[in-house]
Amino acid sequence: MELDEAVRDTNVQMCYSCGKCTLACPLTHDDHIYSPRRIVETILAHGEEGISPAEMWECLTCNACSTYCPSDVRFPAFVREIRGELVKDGSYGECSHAGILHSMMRLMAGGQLEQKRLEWLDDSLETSPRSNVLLFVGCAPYYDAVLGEHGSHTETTKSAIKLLNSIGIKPRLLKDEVCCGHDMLWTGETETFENLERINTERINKSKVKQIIFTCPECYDTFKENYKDLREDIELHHLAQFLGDRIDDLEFKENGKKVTFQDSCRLGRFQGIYEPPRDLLLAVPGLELVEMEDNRKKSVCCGTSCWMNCDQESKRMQVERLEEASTIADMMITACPKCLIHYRCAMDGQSKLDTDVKDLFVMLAESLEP
Amino acid sequence: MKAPFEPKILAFCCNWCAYSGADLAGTSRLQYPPNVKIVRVMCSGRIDPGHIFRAFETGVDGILVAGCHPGECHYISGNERAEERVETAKAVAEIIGIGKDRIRLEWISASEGLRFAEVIEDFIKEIRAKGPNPVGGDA
Repeated sequence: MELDEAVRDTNVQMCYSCGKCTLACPLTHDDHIYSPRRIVETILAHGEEGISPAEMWECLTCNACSTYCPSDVRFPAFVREIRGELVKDGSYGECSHAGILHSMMRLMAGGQLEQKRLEWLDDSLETSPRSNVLLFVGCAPYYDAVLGEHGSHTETTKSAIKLLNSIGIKPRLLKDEVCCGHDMLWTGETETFENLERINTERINKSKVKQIIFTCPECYDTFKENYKDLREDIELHHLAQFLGDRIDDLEFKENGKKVTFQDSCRLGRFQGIYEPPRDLLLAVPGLELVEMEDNRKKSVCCGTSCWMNCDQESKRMQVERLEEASTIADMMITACPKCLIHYRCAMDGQSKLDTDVKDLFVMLAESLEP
Repeated sequence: MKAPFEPKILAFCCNWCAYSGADLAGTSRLQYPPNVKIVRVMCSGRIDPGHIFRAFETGVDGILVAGCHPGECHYISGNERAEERVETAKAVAEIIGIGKDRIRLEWISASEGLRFAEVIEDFIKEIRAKGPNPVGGDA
């Protein structure tokens, strides 16, 4: 195993055991401790024998630990490298949904299938096959099919198109794009990720696209950080950022709701986009934005990542976060499809949670001046 | 010379009805094509869309989920669950480009050995016409 390399690349040898990571980790609470410090120390002391696969798969890769680390140890990246090696040895995390979402990604990585991924488009949405602006749809249609009402992510994509139309942009959609590969990369299936990356890169590079817009923070982060061969003149934007720069062109109608914003890990701690979604919400007249105690870089993970290891810890984190949101606001807004899905799932059967979770772009599109 | 296409079918059969139906087809010495591999599960409700797509990943050409007739499930409502889940799997199969016809749900009781053989024969005929799973693989 290339352990030395992983240690060097992710700065793990710089750990000086202060333990801030353990306190920052959302998995750590009264009865359960997840300590990146101890994990790192054990591996540094015992090498490969110090690796505990269960602990490696438990990490949510939310980057809370690294945000607080005074020594710049990139623990999530280290976990990702180790997972890559574990997969080679046949160790996997516990897939939720019986692994269907992972199967989908592997099937797409083959590149032989002709998908019908744009069936949800309707005539009210203006798109153009010759536009320079590409809207990356990602796994949205699959979430709708697999997760039913918890998914409804094409609603987000439709809203994104409406918002873009309202500022005079007709985006282009690719019929044959594949999953961005984020989950494959973070669950150690590097080869599948590389295939997905290659297919998307080839198909995008040969089009005349100048800008790619993402509604999903995970796709955005993956394209930005892990796609090596994308044409250099292509600009990448998350929709919140893209609209945030054009806020004066958007006209919203009155909305008297009191909302709070959940920063997702990939958009917030990974990409540092904290203010654009808030600016957009504040541009809606009458809308009141209140903050939860842990916001921006202190935001709490939604409990599960990469469709893996969904357990009682996940549920605890989700319910705690929703309880906090429900005490201060009518609605929790998020800009990440996975946060949305996980919180909606946690709300099922929790009648005491008097709140609602909505996607940022759905909320904004509903508030558009007709 | 390229060998002619022989469909590979995976059948998930519930222990109480469909598997017993398959058993009866065997003990009655009914002939049906050998392209099918049977996986016995306690209830058709055990089958998740994830299992179906894991099978497609390996190159299986068609998947049959067979359970008890409605109202006759040994676990009261397992087959209703199976129906919902197969619907989900079909929806995903359609989007991803595998096609919903490659998944079939059938109700076969323990006394329907003949019907089991007929369903398999018919399904194999349909998949043969449709051609191999585009994913490839040797299942």
